[in-house]
Amino acid sequence: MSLHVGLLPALPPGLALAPLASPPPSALPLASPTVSLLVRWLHVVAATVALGGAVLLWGVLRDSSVVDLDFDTDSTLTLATAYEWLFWVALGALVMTGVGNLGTYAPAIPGGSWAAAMTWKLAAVFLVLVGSAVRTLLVVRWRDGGASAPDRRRVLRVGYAATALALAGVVALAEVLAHG
Amino acid sequence: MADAERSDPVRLRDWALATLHTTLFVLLPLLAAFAVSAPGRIGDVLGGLDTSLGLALFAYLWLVLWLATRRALAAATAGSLTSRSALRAGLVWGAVAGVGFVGPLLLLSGLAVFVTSGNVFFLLVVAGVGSLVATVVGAVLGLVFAAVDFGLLAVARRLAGVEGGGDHEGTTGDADPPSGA
Repeated sequence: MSLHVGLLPALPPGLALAPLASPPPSALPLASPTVSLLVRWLHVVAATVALGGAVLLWGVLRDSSVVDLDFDTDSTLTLATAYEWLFWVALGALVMTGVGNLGTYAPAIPGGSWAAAMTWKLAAVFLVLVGSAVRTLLVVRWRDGGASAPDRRRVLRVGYAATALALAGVVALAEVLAHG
Repeated sequence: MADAERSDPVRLRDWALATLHTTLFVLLPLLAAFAVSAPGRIGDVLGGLDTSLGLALFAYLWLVLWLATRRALAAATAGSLTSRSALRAGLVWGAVAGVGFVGPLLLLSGLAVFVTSGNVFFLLVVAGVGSLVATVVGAVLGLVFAAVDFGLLAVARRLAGVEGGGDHEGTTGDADPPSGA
């Protein structure tokens, strides 16, 4: 599926979705400018936390001095646990504010190539969510003790790398949706 | 089990899966609508919803599903975690979540109609039928999410290299593969 977004009109800056045009005079005011600004701000902050944290963990786990991940004492696993809490707060906020941003287009949600790009973005977010659930449960399992994976560091490194790359792709699609 | 008695890994597991449920509950209908080229229907729905109200509804759904998910996971891992125990807990707590989410909304809207029209019959019909539908829909979704959770736990368990155990309340519930379930 190709993304022919070049014909879309220029939109205000920001990663979040923005209205294609001013609402007709008869439309109900669905959100004040302050609420809309707050929603977009939260959307960008949440994406930054999720992506930045994944990149950080990926980098830390690439450090060859991190030989293994002890259950109780390893600071990397502690860092990973902290990130997992933040990650799910961020993803919940992203979906919540993403729907809010989408609502700014309502009732005239664009179709065509814009809708195609949105479909790809939603599918990518779906994969990030499901894959991240497995990643979090791995961290949970290892924090809980009793597991003996031969190469925990490599598994987590791949997990955070995949998360970072997938989220970077989602951000790119968000940029396409916002700016064409 | 009181929250203070839960281990940190268990609380993280509950939080992650509850947030997964909440986000998928919202995301999948949107994805399906866009995939079948029906963004206009989404516009119709979102067009009638104030942004602040939508955010509040999402936050409330998140809270309800977090409470229900942690209770369901606690119930499912009270003994050995099997697909049967997971699905049973998902069915029950899904129904509870359905009523817990829709019930207060129905009550508020029914009361609003009652205050303006004084129609008690309408209030009872809305509360009765709405609660019944919410129970059934919640139970079905609870089953689906329980199956998803069970699958994710199995995948994580395999990747984690777990040799056994850990299948009781207070742990992460990554049990041995189910037998006879």
